[in-house]
Amino acid sequence: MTEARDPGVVRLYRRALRVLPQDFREAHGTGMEAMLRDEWLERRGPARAVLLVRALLDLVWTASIARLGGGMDDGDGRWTMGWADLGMDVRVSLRSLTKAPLFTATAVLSLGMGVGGVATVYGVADRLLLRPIQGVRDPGALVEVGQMALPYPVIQDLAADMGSMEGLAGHRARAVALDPGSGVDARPVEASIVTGNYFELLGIAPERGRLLKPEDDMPGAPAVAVLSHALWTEMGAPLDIADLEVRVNGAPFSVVGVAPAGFGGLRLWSHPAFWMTVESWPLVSLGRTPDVHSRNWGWIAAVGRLRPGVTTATATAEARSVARRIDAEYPDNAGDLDHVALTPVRARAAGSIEGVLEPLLLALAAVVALALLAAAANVANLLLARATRRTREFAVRSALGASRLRLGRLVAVETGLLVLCGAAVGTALSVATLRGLQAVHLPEGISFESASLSPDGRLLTVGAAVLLVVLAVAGLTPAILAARMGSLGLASDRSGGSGPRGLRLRATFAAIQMAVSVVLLAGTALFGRSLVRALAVDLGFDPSRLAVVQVDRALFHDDQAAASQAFTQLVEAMRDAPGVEAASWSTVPPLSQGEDRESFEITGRTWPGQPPSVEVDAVGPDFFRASGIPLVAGDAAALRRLEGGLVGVVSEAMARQYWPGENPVGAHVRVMGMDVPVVAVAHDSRLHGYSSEPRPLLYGVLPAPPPGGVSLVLRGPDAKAALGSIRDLTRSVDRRLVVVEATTGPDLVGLLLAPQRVGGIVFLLFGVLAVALSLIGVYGVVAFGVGARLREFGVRLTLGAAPGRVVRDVLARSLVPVLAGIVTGAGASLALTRAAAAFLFGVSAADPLPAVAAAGVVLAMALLATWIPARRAGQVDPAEVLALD
Amino acid sequence: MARSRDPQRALPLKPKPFLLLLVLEDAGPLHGYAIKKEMAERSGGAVTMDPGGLYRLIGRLERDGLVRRVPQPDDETDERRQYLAITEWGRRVLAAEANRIAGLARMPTVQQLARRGG
Repeated sequence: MTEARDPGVVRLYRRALRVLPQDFREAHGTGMEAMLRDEWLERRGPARAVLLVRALLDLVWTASIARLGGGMDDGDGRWTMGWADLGMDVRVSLRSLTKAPLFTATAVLSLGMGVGGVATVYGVADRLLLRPIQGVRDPGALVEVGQMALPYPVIQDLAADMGSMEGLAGHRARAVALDPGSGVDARPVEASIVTGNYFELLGIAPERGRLLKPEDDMPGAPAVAVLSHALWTEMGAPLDIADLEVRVNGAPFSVVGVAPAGFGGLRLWSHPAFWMTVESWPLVSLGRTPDVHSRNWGWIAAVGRLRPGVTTATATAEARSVARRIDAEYPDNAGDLDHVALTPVRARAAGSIEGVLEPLLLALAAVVALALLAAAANVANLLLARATRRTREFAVRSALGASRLRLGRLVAVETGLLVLCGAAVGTALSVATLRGLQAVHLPEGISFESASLSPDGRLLTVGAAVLLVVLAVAGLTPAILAARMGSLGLASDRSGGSGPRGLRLRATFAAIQMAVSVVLLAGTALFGRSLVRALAVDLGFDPSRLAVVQVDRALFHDDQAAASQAFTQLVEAMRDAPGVEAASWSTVPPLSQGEDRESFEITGRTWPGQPPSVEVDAVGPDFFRASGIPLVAGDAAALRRLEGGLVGVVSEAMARQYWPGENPVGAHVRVMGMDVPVVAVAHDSRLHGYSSEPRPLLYGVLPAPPPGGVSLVLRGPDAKAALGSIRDLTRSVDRRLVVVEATTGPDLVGLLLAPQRVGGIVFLLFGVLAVALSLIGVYGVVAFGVGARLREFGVRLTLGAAPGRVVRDVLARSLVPVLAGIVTGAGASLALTRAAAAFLFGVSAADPLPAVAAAGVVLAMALLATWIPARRAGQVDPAEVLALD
Repeated sequence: MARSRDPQRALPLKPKPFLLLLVLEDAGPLHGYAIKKEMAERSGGAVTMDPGGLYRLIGRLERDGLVRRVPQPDDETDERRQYLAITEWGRRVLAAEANRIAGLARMPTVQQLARRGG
C-alpha cells in the first residue's frame, strides 16, 4: 500500500501530525500514521468518526505534552514535567537576570517590599485583633460584658437572669509574690483571680490534675491553685502534683492541676502564672482585706458564653434590660450598666489601647495593600518592558526551534525566580520589622513583647497567598506576551506593551506607585516630626544621671512595719553606694505613663460641680534631689523636717490651674481623707507621663513609703554602675525585697520614644523604597512612550516643530498620571495622619504639612525622572528614525 | 544503558508498560496497531491506546532500553509500519515484574480478597 492510495482522513491526519515537535514527529510520526490507517480500514460506519475524533484529541494532547519542554509520559498516559529542561530554563534565566542587575534589583526589591509589608502588618493584626483565643471550646460564642470591671454580685445577678447566656464567669489579673518552693526564688508574678466556673465555661481540658471547680469557690473552701503550663515547666514539670504547694504572698495554696500549654487567659497582654478563686483572694491581700462581695466596687471583668443561635445584639439587649432591673433594685451598684455592650472575645489588646491600635493597623494594612499592588504593578511594568525589548531574542530562539510554550515557560521561570528572591527579601524584611516591634513599648506599659510576634504558619500561608496574587498579576501577562512574540518573527519589532492600551495600563500602574510613595513619605515625615517634637520637649529633669529600680514588697505579707523598715534601709544603703549622690523613692514608677488620679479639695474654697481630681504620687523627702526635678518656690528644707507628718508639693501646672496668679505655698488641700499643707512648687516635668502639655501633679511627701509597689529613684554620676549590684544589695538588706526591674534614665526615655522612632524607621524604609521604585516606574513609562513615538517626533521635527515644544508636549502628557497619583496620595496621607494621631507626639491630626511636603518631594523627583527621557524626544534625528523602516 | 543492573530497580512496572511488554514477549515483533489490538484483547478491552499515547509510551520504553525497533518481516506490504520487539533487558524486567505479581497473588489475604470478587 502506498501513501497516494491512503484514504483522505489519513492524509488529513498526516498533515495534522505537524503540530508535533520535530524530534517526536521524526521518531514516531510514520508509525502513528500507519496505526491510524490500519484501524481506519478495519472499521465501518460511526466507529470511524469516533476513531477520528479520538485520534485528533490524542494528537493535540501529545503535542502539548511534547512541546512543554520535552515533557514525558510516566508511561501510563499521565504527564510529567521535563525536569532536565526545566533545570536548563533556570540556568538560562539566572544568566539573563544577572546580565540586567538594575532590572533584577528593582523587581526583587519591589516584591520584597510588597510581600514584607503585607506579612508584617498581617502578623501584627493577626496577633492583636484577629486570632481567636487558643485552647478554648468554641471561642466564637464567648463575649465580654462591657469594657469595665463590674461588682462581683452584679455578675452573679446577670448570670442568674440572662437566658441568652449559657453562663457567665469573672476574671481579674493581680500582681502577687509567688514562692513556688523547691529552691526557686520568690518573685512577683501575675495571678488570675477567677470565679469557680471559669474553666468550665471556657471549656478547657487540664494538662494534669484538674482545673478549678465551682466548689473551690465556696466560702471556707481550701485555697487551691491551677498552675500555668509555663510555671509548671519551670518547676521541673513534676508528674505527681498531689503534694505540690506554692506560697502566694506568703499564704499556702495547694496545687490541684496544670492548665494546657496553649492557654494564657483571655487577655493578650497578660500571662498569668496561676489561677486562683475569688474566695481565696482575701487570703493573699496586703493591708486592707478586699470586700469582694461589695456592690459598690467594680473590680472583676465578666466573660459569657452565648447559647447557640443567640447573637451578641440580642444578648446585649437582654443584658441592658436585666441591668436596669438590677440597678433599680440596688441603687448603690457601681458602674453604669445601662449602656453595657457585649463584644466577641478575641485575643486582642485589652483596655483603651485597642481603640488606638485598630485604626492604626487598618491604616497600615491599607498602606501595605497599596504597596503590594504598586509592587506587583511595578514588576509587571518592568517585565512588560523587558519582554518588549527582548522581541528579537525571542524571535531568534523561536527560529532556532523553541516552541511558543517553551518561550512562555522561560519567561514564567524567570518571573518565578524573581518572585522567590522577592519572597526571601520580603520575609527577611518582615522578620526584622516584627523583631523591632517587640522592643516597642506602647502607652499603658504594654509591649509587643508579650504578643510573641514570631512568624508562624498562618503568616507563611498569607505570604504564599500574596505571592500567588503577585505571580498572577506580574508573571502571567508577560509570559503570554512572550509566547505571542515568538510567533511574530524576526521582522517585527513591535508588540503588546507599546500599543496605546499597554501604555495606558502602564501609566495607571505608575500613578498607583506615585500615590503609595506619597503616603509612605508623608508617614515618614509625620513620625519624624513627632520624634523631633518629642525630643525637643523639656523633660523637666536630666535623665542622663537617673536610674530607677522597681521593688516589690509583697513577700512581707501583713508585716508592713518590717516592709517599711527594710525598704528605708535599702534606700539608705543605696545612698551610700559608690557612684550614687542621692536616693529616694516614689510610688508611681517614673516615666511609667501610669495614671493614679485622686479627687481633692482646696481647704477654704468651694468648687462648682464634681470635685477636681489630680494625679497623685507619694514620694520620699529626698525625691526632688534624687529625680533632679527642681523646686521653683517654697521651702526645700521643710521636706526634710517631716517628723512623721505629710506635706504636699504641687507641680507648676497644678499651681497655674488651681491657684492662678497666686502662690499656693501655705495653702492646704484635702486628699484621700488627709489634710496636706502645700510647702513647695516643683518644676513641671514629664517624669509621670510623656505628654506634650505638662499635667497637674500633686506630690505627697512622706517619711516612709505606703504599702504596695514602690520605685527607688537614684541619681549619680554612675547610676548605671550602681544598678549592677542592686540585686545583691537588695538581697543583703532583706530577702523579702524583690527587684522587679532596674532601668537607667536614658533607657526609660528611649522606651517612651520608641513608637515614634520605630514608626519613623518603618515608614522611612518603605517610603524610600517606594519612591525609588516608582521613579524607575515613571522613567520606564516615559522612556517607553518616547521610544514608541520616535517616528512621530521625527515627522513633527521635519515639519518644523521646535524641539522644546516636542519635549514640553511629552512632559505634559507624562505628568498627568504622576499628578493624579500624587494628589490621591496626599489625600490618603491626611486620612492616615488622623488614624496615627494617637501614636504621635505634639503633631496635630489635621496638620497638612507632612502630606504637602511628601507630595512636593515626590513631584520634584518625578519631574526629573520624566524630564530625562522626555529630552530625548527633542533630540531625535528625523533622518535616522524615518529611515528605520 | 547498563544491562547488567538489577531489574528489581526498574520495578514496579505500571499496567500499560507491563501489558505492552507481555504482548511483545508472547507474540514476537509487532507493529503499532497490532500492539494496540493485542493489548485491548488481553486486558478485556480495558486498555485502548490511541496513536499518540501508544507512541509516547513506546518512546519511553525505547529510551529505557526495554523495547527496540526491528526490521519489517519480508511479507510486510506497508513500509510505514514500525515493528517493535522486546529486548533482553525488557525480558528480564518483565520476568521480575511477573515474579513480583505472582508473589503478591500467593498472599493469603490477596487470595481471600480475590475470591470475594470486586
